[in-house]
Amino acid sequence: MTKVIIDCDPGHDDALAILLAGQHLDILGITTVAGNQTSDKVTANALKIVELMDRTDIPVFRGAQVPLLRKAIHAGHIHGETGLDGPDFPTPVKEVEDRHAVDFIVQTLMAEDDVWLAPVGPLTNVALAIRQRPEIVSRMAGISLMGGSLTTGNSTATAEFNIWFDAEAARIVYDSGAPIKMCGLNLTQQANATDREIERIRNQGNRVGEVVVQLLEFYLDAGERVTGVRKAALHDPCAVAALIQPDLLEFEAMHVSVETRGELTYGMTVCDYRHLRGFGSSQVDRGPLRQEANVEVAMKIDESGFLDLLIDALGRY
Amino acid sequence: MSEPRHRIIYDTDPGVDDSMAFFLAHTSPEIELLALTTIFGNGGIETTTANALRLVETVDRPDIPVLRGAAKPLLHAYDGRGAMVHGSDGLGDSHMPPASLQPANGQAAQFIAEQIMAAPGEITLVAVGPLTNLALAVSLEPGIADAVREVIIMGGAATVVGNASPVAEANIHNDAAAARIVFEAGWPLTMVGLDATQATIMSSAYLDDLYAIGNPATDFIARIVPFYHRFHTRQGVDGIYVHDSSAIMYAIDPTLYETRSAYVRVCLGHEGTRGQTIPDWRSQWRAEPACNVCLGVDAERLKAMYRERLIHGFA
Repeated sequence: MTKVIIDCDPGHDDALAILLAGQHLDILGITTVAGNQTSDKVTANALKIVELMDRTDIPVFRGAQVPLLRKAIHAGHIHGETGLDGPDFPTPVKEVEDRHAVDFIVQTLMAEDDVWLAPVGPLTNVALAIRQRPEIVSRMAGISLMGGSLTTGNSTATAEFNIWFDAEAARIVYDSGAPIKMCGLNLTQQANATDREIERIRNQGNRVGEVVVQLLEFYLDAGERVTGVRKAALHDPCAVAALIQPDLLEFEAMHVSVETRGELTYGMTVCDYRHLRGFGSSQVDRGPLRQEANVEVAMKIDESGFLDLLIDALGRY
Repeated sequence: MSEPRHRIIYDTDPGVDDSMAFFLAHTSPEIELLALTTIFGNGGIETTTANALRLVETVDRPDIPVLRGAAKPLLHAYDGRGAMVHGSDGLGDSHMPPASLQPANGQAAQFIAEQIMAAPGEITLVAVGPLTNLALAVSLEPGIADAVREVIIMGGAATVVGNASPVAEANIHNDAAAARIVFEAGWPLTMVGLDATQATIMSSAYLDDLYAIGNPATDFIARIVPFYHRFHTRQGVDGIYVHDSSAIMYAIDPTLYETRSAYVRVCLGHEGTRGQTIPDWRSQWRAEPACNVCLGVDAERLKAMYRERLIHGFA
């Protein structure tokens, strides 16, 4: 079973990512990072999720509480006051581990072979780990992350939330030389939940599914208020699905780095696809890469296959 | 003196002047050295870590742990220009044999965070290289900003021109993003920058007298300083600037310095401003936190103290 550390800021879609991973991957630990909500809230939420899935054997570690350089701006308008609004979760009994998330990441990668990192929040923890112990880059199996975009942003016209929240950290990670699979907004907006998926999950009739239904109802409502469309992109589970069933996705290798100085583009993932001449039209002429590729950028996902995988996993609890 | 005034973690990139500052700290009863944490800067991390081990071995203090720190700046590339000033070995091309000691297990930043949290209000950080380790530590554990006793850095230039660029001092220039984090962290921070350190010059005659003392520290100094001295001579300085020792001196006796408090903004690097430290003397930006900036120094008293410490520390 593929070994993974899930670095997250739960978050509704983070919860789905963890639930999906719980059925198919060996989760060595969950590390939290401030992002969708504050460190206290997302850490409590991670504990709630492992209790919900009855997997309190998975250790939860608290990580970075603030971005490296910028002030924290959370996403309460999407994820609510608790970061996981919707269901009434019981106050978690399980406690967070004493060790720091970054220490857990470093020590685990140094001690164990073939471990994947699946960061689905801001990249502060991963950046801190890489700058403290650069050797982890060559030790890890790779990074499958949710963040950035080949095309549009959501926090700004050009920047996706996870990268925008701590662009300096993202810059460190993208430029680190680690093998990266990137599920950006261009991809995750092809993987949507609608009321139909909520109905399918409800019909499976299990307790975990019922909680997920309440999460998705809140998430769909919040998304609809922002976008005007009653579809919610299931961002974070895409990065997990890429590890479980990679053939659901199509990737394109290219050079990607992160803008940290732009007046209009702070937090943009600058993707070099100059070699895909005519990209977006019906006739794409593929030329040589103009810069060495460092990221496998997810371009397409089989939406129905992805939803089947996710809903099936939720039904197994 | 019964109780040391400062229990210090010394974050350092030895480095010629870092070594001189280490001997000052070692010989000063006001200071208890808890650990050395290393950082790239005057040399690469392998070089500066090897040199830190040489320092603790030279004074026969193998009990002082040396922890290896960051190898690279947070965002930009490390330019490795320190060799020009400090020699290819970071110790004035003295090419001393390696120490027999090894670095302690663990990462510097994690160690700094853990030590400070375990002893709230007790530990002083003195950092004399690029500020990457301190930035990582406070990012890992923001609580250290309240728990640390004091943070004293050698770096920055408030009212004078830079030495790494027209506007930037080398330590800040070497990791401007880390310096930004450190200057914004909200801990009690003192900046001992070029304003004070270049106003303190150990002349050629002073150095000759120092070399003549003839103990393990001054013998070490006599081997490493001539290269550093020649660099200064080429810059038109008669003697050497007292950079890193000034941060230790501030910990020993802050009355040596004239200081003024201001918010200091570290520039991240548009159009040649990387690493510039701009003090907002008139609070026009209405920004916090304040930094204690050293502007003047009683250089004669400082130099007399340095010499006296190095004599009596080995008596």
